[in-house]
Amino acid sequence: MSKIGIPQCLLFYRFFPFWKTFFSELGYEIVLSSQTNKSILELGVKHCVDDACLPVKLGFGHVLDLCENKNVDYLFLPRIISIEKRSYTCPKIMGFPDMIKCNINNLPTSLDITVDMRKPKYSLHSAFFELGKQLGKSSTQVKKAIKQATLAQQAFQSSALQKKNIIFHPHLNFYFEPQKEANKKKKIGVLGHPYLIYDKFVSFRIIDRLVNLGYSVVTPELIPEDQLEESVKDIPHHIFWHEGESILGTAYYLLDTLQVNGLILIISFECGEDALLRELLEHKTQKEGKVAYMSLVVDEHTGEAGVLTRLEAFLDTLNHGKKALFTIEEKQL
Amino acid sequence: MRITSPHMGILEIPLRAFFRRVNVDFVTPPKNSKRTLSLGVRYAPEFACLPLKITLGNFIEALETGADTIAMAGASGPCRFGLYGIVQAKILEKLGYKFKLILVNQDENTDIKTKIKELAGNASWLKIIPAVFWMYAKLRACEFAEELSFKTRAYELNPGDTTKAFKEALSLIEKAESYSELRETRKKIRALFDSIPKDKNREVLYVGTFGEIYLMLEPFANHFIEEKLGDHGVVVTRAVTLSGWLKELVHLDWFGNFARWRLRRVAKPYLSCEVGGEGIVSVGSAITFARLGYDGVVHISPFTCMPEIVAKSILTKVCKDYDLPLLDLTFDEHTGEAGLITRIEAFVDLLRRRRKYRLKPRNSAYT
Repeated sequence: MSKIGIPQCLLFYRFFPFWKTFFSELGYEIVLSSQTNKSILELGVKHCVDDACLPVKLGFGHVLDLCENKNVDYLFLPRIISIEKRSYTCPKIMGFPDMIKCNINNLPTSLDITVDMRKPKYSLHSAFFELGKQLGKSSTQVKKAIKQATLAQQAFQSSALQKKNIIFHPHLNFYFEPQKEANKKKKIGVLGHPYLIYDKFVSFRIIDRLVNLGYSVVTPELIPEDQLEESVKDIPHHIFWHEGESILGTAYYLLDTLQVNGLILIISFECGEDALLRELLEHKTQKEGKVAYMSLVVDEHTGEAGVLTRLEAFLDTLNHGKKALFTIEEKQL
Repeated sequence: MRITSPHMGILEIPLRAFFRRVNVDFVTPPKNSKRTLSLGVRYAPEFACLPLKITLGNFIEALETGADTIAMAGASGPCRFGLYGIVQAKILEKLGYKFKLILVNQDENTDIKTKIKELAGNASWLKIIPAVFWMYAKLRACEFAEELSFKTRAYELNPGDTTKAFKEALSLIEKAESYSELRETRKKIRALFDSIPKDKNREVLYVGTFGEIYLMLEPFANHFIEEKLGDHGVVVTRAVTLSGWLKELVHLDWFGNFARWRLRRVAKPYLSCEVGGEGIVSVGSAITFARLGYDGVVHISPFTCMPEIVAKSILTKVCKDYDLPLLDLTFDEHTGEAGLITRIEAFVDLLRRRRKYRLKPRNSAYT
């Protein structure tokens, strides 16, 4: 059975259920890169251009990890230009496969597809259909695989919505952890790109920490998509990044409905989208001033202690002076 | 209505011409200066790119001098430029300025015709269309002078002559009031540059520049890079022009689209999709310059520019494959002039040595 390597980076955090079902339906084994760790970060920083943001550097690290340690036959590097009509992903995500190919030698055969929902020729369906044909599978097989994959993706997204819980993904499986209803203290919105907030290395397990302290956490995945578009309506310009729109939409929705007591925005240094969106978001939080807000900027040098201190201070503000310090056990989590 | 618009190299001259034709009061923001930059840096988001900061500074200074309407271009992605207008408007509102924002947008939702009409103070189309053509004629004249200056500066005997001539040329274009005068002006400009004492036997280098459009076109932002290169005996060719960019912005550019399509085809082996901004143009022009036999290329981008980071990481491979020297310059508000001069000198030295020891002859680059 051929092995297909998928790097755990960028849009992996959004589309993994689709990719996983598609390839396993076609009879391939999926090999993931290791969870983000220090050596992956170092590999990425070494091979990537210095100007790039942390997620892209980590992406380089994950691809190198697959090449060096995992012995895969194929490398899955989709070029995702747009995942919704009228919007784009980020330019760096669009150019990511090309950046990889120009900077890393001796890559395994890469499976190239272009997904661009703006053009019918490159829609999700036809892109994966082409891919299946390239791999030498019959039309019926590929169509069936795409159907199953779409169902899996929908199930993933809708279960996030229905259960109103946070998504964790230890290694291969995504699952939803039921939140403890009993000792719910306060609700905190954790916003950011999925590859930042769900990557436990990058975000310093902020979501885990908050949940362990008894807070309930809201992330952009838990808000229905039509609500998001509704809430950014008063911005006179269409936010043309899909993820940017969902982050800003979530923030505006949560601020408008006052569902949360605090908002934490995690962004990576040099993220082009968030540089502007943060300004719009801060404008709104300052204007209304009802919700505590903190933005955390992470890059490859971020130290854990600094993040913990800021998180503690933020939680103190939230509780108006009531102690919210981590216990020693929680610090060692 | 007193309208204003940010500086972008020579853009102010055509804009003034346009607004004079449609009888709208146009406020040219004070010349880009340290103050513009520090105002922009103080109020703009910290990770935003340099163009946003400088243009924000322009707006603040223009509003101080009495403008009440801001004209800004918009786009529908994926480059950050598309959102400049609304972010800047939010910042200016927070600072307490009263103004109206006109966002001229390529987005399919907004009707560009109504926007242009609004910009022209609801003048009739019979007035607007000739004004647009007039603006374009002036723009082309300015670009003509600019190109001449790039070619002349490398040969000039007395440093500074060309810059002086270029300034004079711009003021001549500014004064021209009709098409026939503009034609005369073109002749005068050519004579002006011809009269500069030149060392015809000097061996000059040919360098192509490409990168993010604002930094390419605004000399204040790129620390007058073309002049600096020219002073070292380098003939500079720009890969992107203001006229091309403007035409593309309003979807009028069939030929420009064709040129872009050609660049995309050239860049395809390295970068197979548009990444917004000038990303693909940068990669395509590097290859084109290499094929034309240029001595080297300079890539100019603002710090944290998303499309140019993609281009930058691909350019290393392109330049290795084509054996093309590349100088990668990233600008932000802290860029020191001395460091830039040193890097340019080192780059030009390298090119000269390569020229000296290079065996293969250079194709004709001077067209």
